[in-house]
Amino acid sequence: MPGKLKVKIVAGRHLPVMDRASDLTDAFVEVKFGNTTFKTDVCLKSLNPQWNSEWFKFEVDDEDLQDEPLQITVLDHDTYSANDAIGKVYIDIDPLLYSEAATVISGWFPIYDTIHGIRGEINVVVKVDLFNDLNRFRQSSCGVKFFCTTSIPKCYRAVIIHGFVEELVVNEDPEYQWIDRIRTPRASNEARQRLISLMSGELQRKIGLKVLEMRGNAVVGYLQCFDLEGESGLVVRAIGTACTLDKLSSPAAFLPACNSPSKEMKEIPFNEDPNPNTHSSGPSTPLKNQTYSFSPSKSYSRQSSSSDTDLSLTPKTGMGSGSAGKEGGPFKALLRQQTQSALEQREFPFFTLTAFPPGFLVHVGGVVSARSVKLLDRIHNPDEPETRDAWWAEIRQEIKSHAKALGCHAVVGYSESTSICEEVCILSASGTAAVLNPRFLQDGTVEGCLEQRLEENLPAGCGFCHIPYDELNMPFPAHLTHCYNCRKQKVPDVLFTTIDLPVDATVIGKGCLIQARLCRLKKKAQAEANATAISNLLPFMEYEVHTQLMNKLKLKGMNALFGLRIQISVGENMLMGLASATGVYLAALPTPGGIQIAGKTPNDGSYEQHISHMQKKINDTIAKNKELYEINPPEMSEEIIGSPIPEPRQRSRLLRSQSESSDEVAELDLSHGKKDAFVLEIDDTDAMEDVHSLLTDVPPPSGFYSCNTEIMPGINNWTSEIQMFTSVRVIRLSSLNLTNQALNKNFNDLCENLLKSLYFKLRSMIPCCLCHVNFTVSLPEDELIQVTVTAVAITFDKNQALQTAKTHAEKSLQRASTDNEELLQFPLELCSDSLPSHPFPPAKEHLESASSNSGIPAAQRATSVDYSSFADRCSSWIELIKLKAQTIRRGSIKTTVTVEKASPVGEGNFRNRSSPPCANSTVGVVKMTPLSFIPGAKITKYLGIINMFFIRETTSLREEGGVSGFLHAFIAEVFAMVRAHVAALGGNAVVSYIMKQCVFMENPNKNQAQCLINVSGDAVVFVRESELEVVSTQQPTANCQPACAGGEVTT
Amino acid sequence: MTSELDIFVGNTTLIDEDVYRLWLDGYSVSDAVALRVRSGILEQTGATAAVLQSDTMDHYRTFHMLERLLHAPPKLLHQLIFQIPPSRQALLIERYYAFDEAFVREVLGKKLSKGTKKDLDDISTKTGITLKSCRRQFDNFKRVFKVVEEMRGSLVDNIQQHFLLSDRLARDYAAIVFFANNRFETGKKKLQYLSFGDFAFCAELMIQNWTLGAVGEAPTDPDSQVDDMDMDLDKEFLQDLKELKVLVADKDLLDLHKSLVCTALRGKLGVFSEMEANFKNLSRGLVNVAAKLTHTKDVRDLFVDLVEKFIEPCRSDHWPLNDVRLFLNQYSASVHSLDGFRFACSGCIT
Repeated sequence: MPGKLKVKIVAGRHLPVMDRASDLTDAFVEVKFGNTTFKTDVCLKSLNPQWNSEWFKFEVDDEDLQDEPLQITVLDHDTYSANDAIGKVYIDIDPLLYSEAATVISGWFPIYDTIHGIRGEINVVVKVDLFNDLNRFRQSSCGVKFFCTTSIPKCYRAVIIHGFVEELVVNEDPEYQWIDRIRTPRASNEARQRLISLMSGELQRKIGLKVLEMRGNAVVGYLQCFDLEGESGLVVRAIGTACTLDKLSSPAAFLPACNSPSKEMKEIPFNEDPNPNTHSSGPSTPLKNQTYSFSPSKSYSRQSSSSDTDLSLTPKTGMGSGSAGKEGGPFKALLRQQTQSALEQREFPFFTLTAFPPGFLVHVGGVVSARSVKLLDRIHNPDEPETRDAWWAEIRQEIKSHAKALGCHAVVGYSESTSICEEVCILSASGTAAVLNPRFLQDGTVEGCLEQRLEENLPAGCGFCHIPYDELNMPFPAHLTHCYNCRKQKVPDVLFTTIDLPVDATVIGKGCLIQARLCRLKKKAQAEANATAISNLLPFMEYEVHTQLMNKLKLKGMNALFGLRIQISVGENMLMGLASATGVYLAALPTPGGIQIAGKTPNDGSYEQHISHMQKKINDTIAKNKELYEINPPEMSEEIIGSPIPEPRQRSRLLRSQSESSDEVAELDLSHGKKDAFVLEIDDTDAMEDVHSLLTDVPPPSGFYSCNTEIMPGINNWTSEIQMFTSVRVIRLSSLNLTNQALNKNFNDLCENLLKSLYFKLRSMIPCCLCHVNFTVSLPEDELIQVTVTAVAITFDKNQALQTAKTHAEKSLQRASTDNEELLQFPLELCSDSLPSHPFPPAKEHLESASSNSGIPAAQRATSVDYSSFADRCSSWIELIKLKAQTIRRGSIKTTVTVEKASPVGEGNFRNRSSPPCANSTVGVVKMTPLSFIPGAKITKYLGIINMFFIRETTSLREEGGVSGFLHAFIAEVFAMVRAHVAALGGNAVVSYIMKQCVFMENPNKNQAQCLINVSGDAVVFVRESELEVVSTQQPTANCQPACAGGEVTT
Repeated sequence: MTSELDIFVGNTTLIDEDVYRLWLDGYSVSDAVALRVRSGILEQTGATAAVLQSDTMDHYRTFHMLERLLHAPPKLLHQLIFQIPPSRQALLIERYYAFDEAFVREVLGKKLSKGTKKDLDDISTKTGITLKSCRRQFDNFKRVFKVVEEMRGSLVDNIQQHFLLSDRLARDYAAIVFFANNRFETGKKKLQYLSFGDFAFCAELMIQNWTLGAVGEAPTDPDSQVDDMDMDLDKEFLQDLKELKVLVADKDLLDLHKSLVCTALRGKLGVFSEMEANFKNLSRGLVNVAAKLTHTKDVRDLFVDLVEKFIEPCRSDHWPLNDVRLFLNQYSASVHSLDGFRFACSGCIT
């Protein structure tokens, strides 16, 4: 009924030789969707067949359109025996189902066989005609957009962020069905691939329905995972954040508001035009109109938005402005109360986002996590996945209560994971407890005015650090000081979070990757005994991982962790813990103290000497690290701060618990009791080991930086070269004398060596930064440890490293005047920009000298985006321009820029058209990155989600180059297939790419190996900034829409 | 702790030129690692030997996977598995098809058959080039030969089109293919002083002037060579060469020819007297070589004969290179004025 799918098979190339006699192939194609199959003619004796088929038409329900993949099978015709399969292509047609995404899928797809890998390519064209169906009871959710990106996608604006959506579906794993004993490995693999494809389609549809129910139109931060539970079945689960997104398409409307960019920047969150249909952000608008009026143009822009304000809310607005002068304290309480009520209606106030629209995140409490050990049993009824649902519900409930204990009503940067070994499964969930600005939430109608007052009390760049909980009634012993930035609010001495560094945070120096690695031996056991053993070990692992993180953080001289991800994997005879995070020095938090070593036996002279030697080494390392990461916070005298310098005490910001088999919730206090935690006591060899391991972490070679967040704090001047990679290592432990220490050392070496290898391999890109370094560890077999790393190396311009902050200011100013569209997006993008040609070179030089003369502290210069200092610099720049007697009035900068930058319309269009991603005859380049952006480029269109699952198996492992050769080829093939799909959608990049699973199994004795890989990401069209500027500056005059330009090119 | 599996896969395939060269030169991973260590890379980068080992392995694996595609370079351009920038693709192909001078001299003119392949061990020991590298080079020759063997049109163009080689390399391959096809003997001790470049130069001239494609066509108009073959010598042309015998058989003609050449060259040659004295011998030598070319065996010995009959006498008289060139030019030019003869100089430049 409501959809017609049309498929055309054009041609094939590089097909394998299927007929030994003639060295040729008689190929034909089967096109299958649902239960309908079409066939092309047989193209005799050709390795490059031209079928040029008719349009095969499938008339299908949109429900099926969402669930089913299009299945294309290439076969070799055989007159006498059965036709041989050459390989298959599965095409997810979901991207064709939303209006703004791709309109056609057309291109060369690798023909994939689970036994032989890629065998040639096939050219396919797919289209969908969708009919509108307004059936209320429909089961489909066409039109809901999905994004893997964990922030609001670049060319969209969040009108409302609704909140958490989750769903899971279960099924029997075909690999474990009885039929698997009699069918070929190929048939079994294909059954599995198809099933998972179906299940993820179904899952996406169900989540889409939930989103529609919440009146949203998109899912952001969509994370879908598979749990291969073996005998007990296959679980596909997904979480995400439902949003109502608005496409940014009419930037011209905001163009007049360009006079004072600094203020404008600050205003972004409020400047957004609320969707007429929602009442949410209405009230804030008129208030702002009354309170601030910086320039006539700005109030103009605001008036346009206030047209749909609900008048009945005006009194409240007045109240809000009345309380303008009040302290933040009672306000905070009020705010919390109100947002709480807004959020309490939700079952789980969770957000999978890690980066937020400015103003969304008010306070951050700390990391909350929960783990639970479960025994798997067979899923008896696939239609009722209640057990698994209940398990997750339980964990989420725990997370929610932890967040509440931290005085927070929401959890951001939320994620879930599992680790399965035999019939034991560890479910983990973690996130960051936070207080959010209710304006973006659905029910936040009333509070619109409040957060804004609060905002006024909170200077930019430190607000999120302020504690959300009650000072007198702290959830755990913590040491608080006055914020080093605003001196008004209390801040903790360290902050752990799972989110990305907020763009407005004031950071000193650069960040670095910090990892805690840990192994624990466990006795082999069965079922319940095993589960008990694991749950007994978990608290100790968490404690140690946490201690290690804390110590390493101190050693780096930093005081906050972002993007923290703790992974605990279970194996037959051990547990592994791997925590990765990016350490930074937040200007708002106190300077971390050093690490002191204390011996237990102070009488022994030589021992003391040893201790003091160690102490010296540690102190040296801290000093060296401070220099390396350019951490030189401004000196502050204690009197000014008005509070004692924090004592060297460690406090935990982690609240966590383990529960075994559902019931017991054991909370663990990680604050080390009353012990002075900066002091490491060397009382046994274990502790010695710890200290040693602290010192063995080698910093990356010069020119290299690494972090696991989106962007590296302190580096802003990215250039456009990026290299995404996946590296896998498996080591075999010698089974003899396995001790915890030896294990730890092995594991540590494995990770360190892996990093060293990466640095060596990418040395040609120096200076560069490894971003979004994502380690996953698994224990595929008894003595095997597998570590998989996916990251992206991005080059940056070292020479401009010192000018970053300034160029920022300039850029933004320029942006503000030329391309207002930018303003509405995350300032994050500003940080990622490489430098385009500058409109005012002389002014730039003056600014540099000026700002260095004016002695802006290094802290501010290195800041990613610091609005307050930003404002100064922007205005000083303007002053300089004035001094240069260029007689540019503030309001006329735009025109000047336009004049200087604009080129004839025709040329601009031509340039844009001449650079399509896949128009040339050879293979177009498709970039892949785990980040949500592409440096030096602007994403103009999201084409849809890429979610692919592949199985590869071999029975000739040695011939394929052993395990390394096998996996190397497979990963290369997976990349190729992702790229081909993106190119066919008309895209030229995948952002937020993630390899969610890489399960590798081998049996060298049988010469066999099998690997499962699951990847996902967002297919996008990007336009290089250099090209973009031409387009965007033409905007006011040429009146073309840049957002569509890229799309036009490709479609 | 042993590493079971260790891989690195980039979205853009990383190609290390140095490692590629080592791989092409046929070094094993451990040898390559040792050579890289010696190059001082560890000191430059602060890496460890283990890192280097893993890196080298990775590159070798990549090259191994690419090798299949390099056998048909257009495939490399259209394949989807490895994302490689075009400049790098060109480098990969060019280097893969590059060959060692020492090696090519050994096999030039030999039949590219299994038998020759068996002799590669000896060539390897003799030239010091690894057997692996010898095999690659030999297989390259053979592959190019097989592909263009039956093709029509310009040999160089065909090679360039099917193997995407640079112009220079494509010309070299054309020479190799031409020599292999005609099985010219180049291995004799007497010919050892000739470099591959010398032979390639001859091959080019012969392709231009002596082959089916060349005869009767203006060499400046390659487009018109619709149905020619650059590989085989033109039988008719060789047959016609027999007619040259008259130049030495007919005493009058010989004298006339000699006087024409001598008049033209008088005062221009440093070795004029020697030339005048030897003219008859030299002319006889050249003409006999040319006249014999109808026999396949003699075609093979073309270069041996030329050296024996013409170059060695010249050398014994210490002719300077330029004089030889002048003499040959005049020698053939005079023939034209003698009769309607057409003779393309073989241009053996020593």
